[in-house]
Parts: sequence; structure tokens; C-alpha cells
Amino acid sequence: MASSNISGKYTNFTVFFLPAIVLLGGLVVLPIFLDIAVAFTDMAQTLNVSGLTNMQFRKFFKPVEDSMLGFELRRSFLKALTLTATYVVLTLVIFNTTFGLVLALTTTALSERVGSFFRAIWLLPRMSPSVVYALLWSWTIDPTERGLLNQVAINIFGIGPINMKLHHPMMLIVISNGFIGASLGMIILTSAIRSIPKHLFYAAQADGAGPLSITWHIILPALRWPLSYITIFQTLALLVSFEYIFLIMGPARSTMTMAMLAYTKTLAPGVGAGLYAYGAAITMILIVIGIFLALLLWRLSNMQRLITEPRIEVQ
Amino acid sequence: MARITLKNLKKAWLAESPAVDGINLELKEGELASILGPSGCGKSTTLLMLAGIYAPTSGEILFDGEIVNDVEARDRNVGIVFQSYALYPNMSVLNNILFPLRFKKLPKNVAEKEARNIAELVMIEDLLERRPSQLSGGQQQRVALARALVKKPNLLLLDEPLSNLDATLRLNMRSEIKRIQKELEVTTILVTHDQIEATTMADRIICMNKGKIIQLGSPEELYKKPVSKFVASFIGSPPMNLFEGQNDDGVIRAGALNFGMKGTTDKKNLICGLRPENINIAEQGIEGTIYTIEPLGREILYGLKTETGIIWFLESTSNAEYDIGNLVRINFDYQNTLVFDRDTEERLDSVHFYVE
Repeated sequence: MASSNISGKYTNFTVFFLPAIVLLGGLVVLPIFLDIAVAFTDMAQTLNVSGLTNMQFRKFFKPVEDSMLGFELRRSFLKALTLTATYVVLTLVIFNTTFGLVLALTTTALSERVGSFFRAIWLLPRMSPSVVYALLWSWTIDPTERGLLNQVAINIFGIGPINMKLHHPMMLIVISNGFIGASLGMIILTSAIRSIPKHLFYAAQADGAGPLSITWHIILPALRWPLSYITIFQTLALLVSFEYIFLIMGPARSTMTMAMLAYTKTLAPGVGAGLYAYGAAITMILIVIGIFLALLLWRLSNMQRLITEPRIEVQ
Repeated sequence: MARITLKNLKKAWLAESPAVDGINLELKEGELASILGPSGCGKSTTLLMLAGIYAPTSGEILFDGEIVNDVEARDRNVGIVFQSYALYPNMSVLNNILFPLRFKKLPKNVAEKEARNIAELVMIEDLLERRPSQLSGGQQQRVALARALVKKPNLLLLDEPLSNLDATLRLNMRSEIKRIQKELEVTTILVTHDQIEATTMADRIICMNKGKIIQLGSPEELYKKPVSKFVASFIGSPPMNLFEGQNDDGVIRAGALNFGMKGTTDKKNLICGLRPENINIAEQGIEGTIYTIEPLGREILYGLKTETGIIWFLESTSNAEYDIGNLVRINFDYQNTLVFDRDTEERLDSVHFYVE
């Protein structure tokens, strides 16, 4: 009886988990190992591998005898790291969390119909094909007088013409990615706000609280967990995102983040040099940074508690 | 502690079916009134209009003779206790109670002293550092009461405050709320669908149905002189026996049974009402067989199968007990009987019936 129970358990385990395990192994774990393996070779366009080497990493780090860690970062690599950090932090802080929160707060404060309308508008960038979205941006920020931005700048404010790509590249990629990223936060936070029992709002109103106090004392405490989730999720997503940067900026040095670097050195049409081992090495460093950040944020925000018990109190 | 007046108060989300349909009401200072009615009768809507959370569609709300329709909820100084208690989950009990005082700009030590006083009154002074999630239902309910009372409200609104408590606790809190209400002399409206809660706690009961006040009076008035079949069936536990009868020149024919009629009416179609507690086992009377038995402790509720259907009656446990299938006769005093017009469902004054 006992043994058939145990074998039954294994059968169930296999039936339910095998598809997931196969997918996870084939699509996530295997590519990571492949990436690590390739990173330690000299694989290039011809796909020939002549042996194991750490030459790719020497392009990022140069050995320095008297530095603390025994090596220093090369200038180009340091620049990619700095650009990545700037891009991730600015997009995350300004748009994905803060602006998402503002959208959620304002659209839930409006009437149902008007609120849904504005939320739908903010979902448009996410819904439209990325090429179309990038094209719209290209027209908007066209450096000549024909660009929408410049028409506004010249005709209304009497300044310009402005060349965003040349003079404010970071601002451009942060805003263009942020407009898309904010909608995820908006949706998650809107549903979190909606799940607050309405009697809490009534009680607070009767207790004398105005809109600001209600936001501060009732809504924000209820959003702590969804905000932690958005922060972790979007950090990882931004770290590896390059699609819109490439479509809008092309392989410009001013916005060459880590993910962009890996892409342009390998597969990017026209400019991709097919330096597969080099790209793999960059990707490997990105994976390490991603894992480190995820664990750090997980720890900082006590995410364990979020997934083990419901954090929204339903009464 | 205010005098509350409602004038022709109306709330209609949809024009054709108003939730509250023109109610008039006057509450004395320090009175405890209960709005009683089935779910959907408009009682909670009335309450939320009094609190200032819903704006009335038309009509007036007056506190101490002043119209407060346009006064915002936060400026009305009304305390509310909800069925769910609606405690702020991220704040300690003390901070929950202090929350309303934040907006009164009291010095911190004064506010804290008042919070502690009120906590003592509702007997939760040992729980002040806890979070709401660490409290039992009864304790949460006391915290909610303290939070509603700490600001010395003009009006205290209780929205089904006891519905989430178990039976013993409910009994306990009933008398507790009444004690606190009398001690603070705060005008209070208790909204409930539980007639026992209403009759035991309130000075006056406002019986509502379909957005209208059906009857307004003391618990005794509603019990003894209900204006309609609705009130009669809503008040009293176990509920009143109601059966249809036909007026045949001073004789009421109900099924195969005939009853004599006291008083006169020209209405033909009647409904007869008889409370289970007013029926006794007797030598002479309606004959029937015991159909169901429900022991209630001190009393037993019997269902008697008669020729006009099942009639429920209460017998004290100390009397002879009957078994299912026993043949018994029941009788009653005509003064305790009620007769309603079947078409309008209104009670016919001074019309009664008796066993011939």
C-alpha cells in the first residue's frame, strides 16, 4: 500500500511537472550553460572554436597588480555598465514605479468610464507593434523642423530645433521605454487599489481624512507589496531590454548599454560583427548581475512573505 | 450629540428604482434608533447618506436644524462602525483609535489621553500595541467602536455591527453597545436585518422595505400593532403563522377550518396572523398532528399539521412533551390575533379571529 502510494506520487509528479521541467530546462537552463560555455571560447562568425580561453573577459578587465581586486575595468566596459545602470534606474524610478503609481492613483480616482479611457490610452504603446512605436518616436523627435517635437518647440516656445538623438540620447530612451513600462505598474497597482475594501475608504472619510491623507494612510500601505514586485520584475526586464533602444537610436555609442553591446557585437543586422563569444561573455556578466540584483531586491523587500501569504487583507 | 432630521430623503442610482424613496425622520438627542429591514431595503444607503459618503438625490439631512447635505463626510463628525469593522490593517490599535484625532489638530498628549480613555471604556486597554490582524472578531469590533467614538461624534452609525460575531459574543456586545451609548448619550442609528438586535437595543425601530419607511415606533408597538403583514412577519421569532382566509359574513374560512370574527370588515380576502408564542395546547380548539419538533432549550417549537396547513407553536419544555404523530388540539386568545387585507397587506384595526 505504502509503496504504491509513493510510486503514485512519482507518477503524479512526472505527469504534472514534466512539461514544465522540459520547457525550463530547454529554454532557460540549457541556454545559460551554452552561453557560459561559448563565453570561454573564441567563437566568431565562422563558428570555429579553437579551444578554451578567457580572452573575451580580458576585453572587459585588465589585470592591474596593485589594485584591490587584482584587475580593473576597461573604459569601454565601464561606460556600458554606467549607461546600463543609468538607463535602468531612471526608467524604473521615474516611469515604471512612480509614473505607474501616479497613473493608477489618478485613474482610480476618476469615474470608472473616464479612468478606463485613460488607462486604455496608456496601454496603447504596449499594444502597438514595436517597429510602429519606434517609427512614431522617430517622427516625433526628427531633428529637422518637420519633427513633431520641433514644431511644438519652434512654433509655441520659440526654441530649437532640438536634436534629441544627439544631445539627449539617455532622456530619449528612458522616456520611450518608460511610456511602455509605466502601463504594467499602472495595471497591477490599479487592481491592488481596487482590492482595498471600500469600507476602509468610507471609514477614513468619516474619520476626517481628505484625499491626500487617504492616499498616504490607506492606499500606499496596501501597495507596498505590488510595488516591490514591480521593482524586481522591471529591474530584470530593463537590464536585458534593447529592442526600442536599437530601433530608435541604432548602434549609437551614447546609448550602448550592456544588452545593446551584446546585440550589436553579434546579431544586429548590418552592424553585427558575429563576435559570438564576445556577446556570450557580456551576456554572462548580465546574467550574474541580474541574479545578484534579484536576490538583493528579494531580500530587501522581504518578497518571501509576499508569496507565502496573501498580503492584501480581505475582511 | 445632535438632533437628526431627514426630510423627504431620496437616493436613486437609477431614476426608475430609487434605493431610498423619500423618507422622513426625526431623531432626538441621545436616542438609539434602529433601521430594520431585509437586504436591499435601502437601510445602508440611508446610513451612508447620513455619513456624507453618498450624496442624496433629493431631500434634506439636518443636524441640529442645519442642512448638512453639502458638508463633506470628513467635516460631519460622524462615527461609523461597519460590519467588517474596516480597521486600518497597517496601523496598531492605538493608531487606529488616534486616526480620527489626527485631523482635529489636538496636541499629541491630549489625543493619546483621549484614545486611552475611550479604549478603557470599551475595555481594550491591553490591546493597544497590537495589529488588527492579531485580534479576534469581538476585539476588532471594540476597536472599531472606540475609533468611532473617540472624536465625540454628533452621530454614531452602526452598520450591522454584530453580524460577524458568534452568538454569545453578540449577546454580550448588544448590552455593551447599549451601555456605552447610554453613558456617552450619543445619538445612534443601528442598521440591522436582525429583528432581535433591533428590538433588544433600540428605543425606536424604523422598519424599512423597498426604500420606504413602513413603520416607525417602539419595539412593543411594532410587535403588537404591526401596520402590515411585512412588519408582522419581520418582527418576532420564530416568525408569525400566516394563513389565507375568506371572509364569509363574519366567518373566516381558512382551508377546511372556520374561525369566528371579532370586529367587522367588508374586505373579502384576508390573511390571518397568529404568533407561535400565543398558542396553547387546549381541550377545545384546532385539531392536528405533530409534524415537526424543534427543541429550543427552554421551549419547544412544534409544527402542527392542521386542515389549513402547518401551524407553528411554542410550548414550554416543562409541559408534557409530544412526539411526532401525536394528535393535539390548540387554542389561543383572540386579542393576540391579527388580520390583514390580502390585497393591500395592511392590518385591519380591531379585527380579530377565534376558534368557534
